Amino acid sequence: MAYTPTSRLLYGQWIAQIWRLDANNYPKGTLAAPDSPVAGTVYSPYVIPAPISYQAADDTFAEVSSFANTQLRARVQVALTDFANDTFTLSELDDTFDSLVMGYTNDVTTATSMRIRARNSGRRTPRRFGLALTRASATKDNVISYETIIKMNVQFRRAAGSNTSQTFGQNPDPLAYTVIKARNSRMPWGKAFSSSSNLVVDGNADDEISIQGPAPIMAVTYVDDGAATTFALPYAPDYTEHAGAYNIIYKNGTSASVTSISGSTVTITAGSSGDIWTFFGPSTALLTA
Amino acid sequence: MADDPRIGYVGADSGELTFPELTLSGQEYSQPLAIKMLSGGRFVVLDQDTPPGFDVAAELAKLDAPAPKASRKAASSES
Repeated sequence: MAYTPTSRLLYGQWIAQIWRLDANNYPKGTLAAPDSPVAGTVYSPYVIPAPISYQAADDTFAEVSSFANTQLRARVQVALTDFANDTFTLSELDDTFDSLVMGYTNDVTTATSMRIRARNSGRRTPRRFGLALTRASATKDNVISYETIIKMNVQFRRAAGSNTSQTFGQNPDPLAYTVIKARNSRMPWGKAFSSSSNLVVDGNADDEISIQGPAPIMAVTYVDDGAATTFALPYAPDYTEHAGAYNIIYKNGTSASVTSISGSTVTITAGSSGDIWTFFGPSTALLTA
Repeated sequence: MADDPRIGYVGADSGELTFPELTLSGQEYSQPLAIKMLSGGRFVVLDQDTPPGFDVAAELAKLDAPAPKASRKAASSES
């Protein structure tokens, strides 16, 4: 049954997921080297434990006007000239998230029962990510559903080092990350934007999309090894259908068929080694991840 | 059934996953970020931060090579 658009109350910051993009803008979970995956492996996003807000800043547009006879004549908006930087805030220090977005590896070897992190202020090539943010929505009849917003091509930075404070009632460390946005010519599951795609946008690229569905959307990538006929989803999908109603399944950027979905297992006809399968579908299990 | 705590199983009928307790290298983990399928409906969770010197490919080959039964026997004999 098609989702019926309706005016709805939006609330909360529920689930935030982040995944790395490879050179072709396919999602690759948290893989340190996203262009060198291990065949036969499922890569899933990092589910950020304590996100509290994502503040989108106003974009910059060019406007042109004419003036004559002491008064304004024409005035038109021309186009977007730049994105402003957004702000993503966590309520806790998360060294897994920090190392992922700042591009360093936590040291758990020097002292195996401790964890040492750095800041990597000298990084030259900030990593690129997809960021999925889920908020809830309610109709006037209190029918609850979820909207998952996907920032399709973002980079992060922390403006400062760590702080301490004796102020009570708030976390003393500034856990706000600046988010640098760009467009992506592929949808999160790898399909290229085009004039014939189901989601047509000017310029065949965009910075974000959103998916309204019955549960937060999980984003999973499987890199085929050319032999295995199943792969495992890290979270149970709410629906086992694979006819295009809820679960979005693509291979190398093209809509793909699977044999079945049972529990958290997807059965496929093995492709070629290195083929990139993507699975985007509702999963209530994410709410307790 | 005593199994290697690094190996997870796919339910043969249900398709539901039983996740391993530890990652491939034996570290604890909070989320299954990378799942490597092995033969026989088994899988391992790869490490987020692989310990230096740990040979992922060699360890995977070792786990994938023997039949599941032999693997379980070896694991239980070590405990």
